[in-house]
Formats: sequence, structure tokens, C-alpha cells
Amino acid sequence: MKRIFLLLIFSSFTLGIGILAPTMQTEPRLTLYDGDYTEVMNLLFPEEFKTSSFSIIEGIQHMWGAGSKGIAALIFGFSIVFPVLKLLILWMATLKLSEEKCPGRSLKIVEKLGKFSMVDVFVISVLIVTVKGLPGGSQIHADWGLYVFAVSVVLSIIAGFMLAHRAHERELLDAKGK
Amino acid sequence: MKNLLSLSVPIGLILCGAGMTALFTSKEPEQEEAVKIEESTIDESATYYVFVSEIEVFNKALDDDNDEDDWDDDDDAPDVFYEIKYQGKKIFESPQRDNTFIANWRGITLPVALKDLTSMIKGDVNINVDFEQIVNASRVKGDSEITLHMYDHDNVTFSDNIGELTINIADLKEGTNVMQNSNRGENSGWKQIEIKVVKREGSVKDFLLPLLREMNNEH
Repeated sequence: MKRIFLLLIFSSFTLGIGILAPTMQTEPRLTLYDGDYTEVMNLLFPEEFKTSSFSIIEGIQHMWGAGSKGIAALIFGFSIVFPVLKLLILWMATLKLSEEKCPGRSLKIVEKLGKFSMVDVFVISVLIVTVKGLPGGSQIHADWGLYVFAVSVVLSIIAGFMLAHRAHERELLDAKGK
Repeated sequence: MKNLLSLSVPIGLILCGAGMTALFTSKEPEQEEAVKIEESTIDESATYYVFVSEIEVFNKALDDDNDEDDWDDDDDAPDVFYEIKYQGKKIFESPQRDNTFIANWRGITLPVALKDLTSMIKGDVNINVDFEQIVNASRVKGDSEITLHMYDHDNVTFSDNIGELTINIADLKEGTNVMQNSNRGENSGWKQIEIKVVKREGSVKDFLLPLLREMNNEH
């Protein structure tokens, strides 16, 4: 059980980091048919042409502010609400199991949530791939926050699998006891 | 109740991770760029590019019946251009701006040289463009005294004199210098002048940067 708790502790901590750390980096460029004018534009419009990083939270704020409230809400749901809820439910189920109780409903929820695992990372990845090829050669790169976020999701998946395995063992023991 | 309380552990860890990230990634106030034009005094031994970015002239046509009061014979607004003279010799003449009471100029001809400008900034020396040709400014020393002559171009007769101004470069500052004239007189048909002074640094990039910024500030 200690391993599952440890995994959940690391997963929670890295989730917190992943939400606020820079997830993607935008690099504005201007490449025309006859050459690369990025440096000239950098000199002319330094504010507009500087490289900037966005965390998940900042990305959501920008989208909300830009009027894409639906997408902002979707990303907020899948990238923040969903992983936090998943961790809380896993934590509850692990606690029940550690007290030698059957996790019951919590485990069923965890198994259902497992189907949506990595969907949060997937949403961000799709976003990056979608806007990667901006006109004029501007680029978007994944930043370190995305990898930390992915680690958090992977750790919670492993914790979920281990928990399910332990819960089945517990059920088998209970069945034998009866 | 006990289980709910225990939920504070993962929530606390998430907040702890987020808090630490916010602490370490908080954006520091951006440093002032080293190349930004400051309102510095003129170094008398240095070379400067001086150009007029704007001349605003008085509307002389107070009485349409009197040709003496019109800038142009055909009731058009003046066709403004200026000359910069050093020790009585013309060192720069601006392009003409037709039919306007507010004439503007840039210190650099960007559209022609955009591609070459990129090459120059990148340090590509194998280009067939004389960099000085894309600069629309006079080149003077910091201790010079120049005379600015402003005219309304006339195709038929001599150009009308809008005004004349003697300027000590040392009295100016780097960047934009605004001069105003409230008294319209025989030799002062101008209302406001903006003179830009840009130090000519060693490298092309150092030189281009302030000029481009000056140009950008005009927008």
C-alpha cells in the first residue's frame, strides 16, 4: 500500500507543478517566399515577436479572454478538474483498502475513469499539433510543464492499476473468508 | 469525516506543487533593453544621423482672394520638403510630400531594402546594397551646427520658403526632439517640427536598431 500512496503523493505534487508550469512555447516567425524576415520584425515589433510560454492555466485564461469559452471550459475540465478528481477518488479508495475495507464504489469509479486516462495530455497535444504550423512559419513547442503533467497522469494510471489489483485480491480474500 | 479530512493531503500536495512552480517561474519585470533610445545628451565627438520626421505648417490661406496668402497658386496645400545645410553647403534634401500641412518622413527606406536589411542584420557581407543608400538622413558630428530650410515646392516659380532654423546638434537629445513655433512670421511658416537624432554606432545592427525603433515609434 505504501507504493500506491507514494505514487499518489508524487502524482499530486507533479500535477500541481504541471498545471502552472510552462506547457507550450510560441515562437513567432515571419518567413516569406524570398526569405526569413523574423529578425527584422523582431526589431520592428519586439513585443509582438518575442517568444512566450504558456502554462495550462494561462492558456485557458487566454482562450477565455479571446472568446473561445467552450474550448477553454473543455480544457479546464479535462486538464484540471478531471485529474484532480481522479486523484482524490484514488486517494479515498487507497485509504479504504489500507483500512482493510473493500473500496467498492470508489474502485468502480476509478476503473471507469481509467478509460479517460491520458485524455488530458491528449487534449494539450492535439492543441499543440493543431497550431504548430502557423502561417509565416511561427512555431509552437511543448515546454517542460507538459512532461511533468504527463508524468503526473502516468503515475496516477499506475496507481490506479495497482489499486485495482489489490482490490481484486482483497475481494478474493473476502470471498474465501465467507 | 476522517476520509474527507484525509483528502486534504492530495489537495495540499497539488497546491504545494503549484505554489512552488508559481514561485520559481514568476515572471520578473522585463529588463529595459540595452539598445533602447534614451534621452541622453549628445556626445560631441560622435557621428549622428539627423532627420526631420514631421513638419507641420501654418495654414497660410487665410484669404482666398489674396494669392500672397496661399501656399500654392491652385489653392492646394503646400508641397513640403526640407534641406539640411552644414557650413552653407547642402548635405541632405528630403523627398517632397505633396499637398499637406503635416509632412512626414522616415529615416530609412524599408520596403526597398527589407530583404537586404535581413542579410545585413545577419552579418551577410556579400550583398550588393550600399547601406547608406537606404538611410534618409543627414550625417553630422555631435558638435556641428546645421541649418534646416523648409520649402513649399513650386513648379513654376521658386519654391516658397516655409522657414529656416539654425540648430546646434549638441543642444538636441538622442531620439525625438519636438520644436514648436507659435508666432507665424515671414520666416516661420512652420508650426511644429519633430527632429530625430540617432547615434551612428559601429556595427550595422547597432545602427539599424535605433533607426528601426525610431521608425516604429512613428506608428
